[in-house]
Amino acid sequence: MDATAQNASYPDTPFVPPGALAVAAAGLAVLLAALLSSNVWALNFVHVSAGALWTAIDLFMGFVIGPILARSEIPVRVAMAKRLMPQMLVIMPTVVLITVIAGWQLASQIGILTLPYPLRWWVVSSYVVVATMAMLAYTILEPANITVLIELRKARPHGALIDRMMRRFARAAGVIGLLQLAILVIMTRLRFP
Amino acid sequence: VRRAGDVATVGLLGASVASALGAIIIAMAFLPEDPPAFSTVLSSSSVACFVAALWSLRQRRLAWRTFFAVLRGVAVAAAIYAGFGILVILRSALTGPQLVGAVTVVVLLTVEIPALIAFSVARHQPAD
Repeated sequence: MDATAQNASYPDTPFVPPGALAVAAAGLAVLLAALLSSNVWALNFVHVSAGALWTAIDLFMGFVIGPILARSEIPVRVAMAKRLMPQMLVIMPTVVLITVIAGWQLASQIGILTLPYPLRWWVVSSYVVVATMAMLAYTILEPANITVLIELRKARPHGALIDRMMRRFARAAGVIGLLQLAILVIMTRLRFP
Repeated sequence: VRRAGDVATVGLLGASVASALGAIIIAMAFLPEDPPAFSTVLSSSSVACFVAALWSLRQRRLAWRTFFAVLRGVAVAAAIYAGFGILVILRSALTGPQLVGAVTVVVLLTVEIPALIAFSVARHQPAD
């Protein structure tokens, strides 16, 4: 199949399920309400809940789903990717956005952003860890996720490419999960230095 | 040759995003004072993005249809995220040059991140 025919095989159905978009919109509405209220408890609740979800999903993807997929047959991996990847494309960026934005507003309101040094090094190190996670997401996680979705929409998907991208996705999710543990260490050190 | 060009483009786009994130870290580390080298790091991010755009335009063998399809979708998501980012920046204590710098970083990332993701996806697809 030539390139034009392959590219022409994209169906018109949406990339992501509308239900997942509705859940993401609800999550963003909760974030917006917390931001506009400037209520410290609400911001803390949203930040901690979304952060816990982010850490759990990454660790689960990297250390449970990833190894299971690696030991599965290719048709099983493709079937799994078809159902999992569209959800992940919406869930992960939304959870990350909610965690980071609520966290920034919370830190700004309770004075964490202008803590004196040396305590502030913990805050700066959290920025470095979050930036590293962001780079992993932008260079590996999201491109792999979208590539799998594009392949699955073709009349003849490139099985080896899907397999490679799924492995890459699971590995990156695992590394991000480990970095999340570093964030947990930093946050708990900040609370009880 | 195409592969080397792809890697160079992804590297440049990655460097532009990393520089913008670096500028944020520098600015936050020095709050409430004005950070040193913030403008230099931010300028290097813009230059890397511009060079990557020129470099990619020279490559005729790319799945441009896929590139623009992904770019559109990610740009919409990035615009929503940027909206939230700008909202919290405007509600923070930042004023004057710091406020302008923070908004500039967000706008820059809104351009660079979709370009990086779209190119990273398109390079795995058959050229148009």
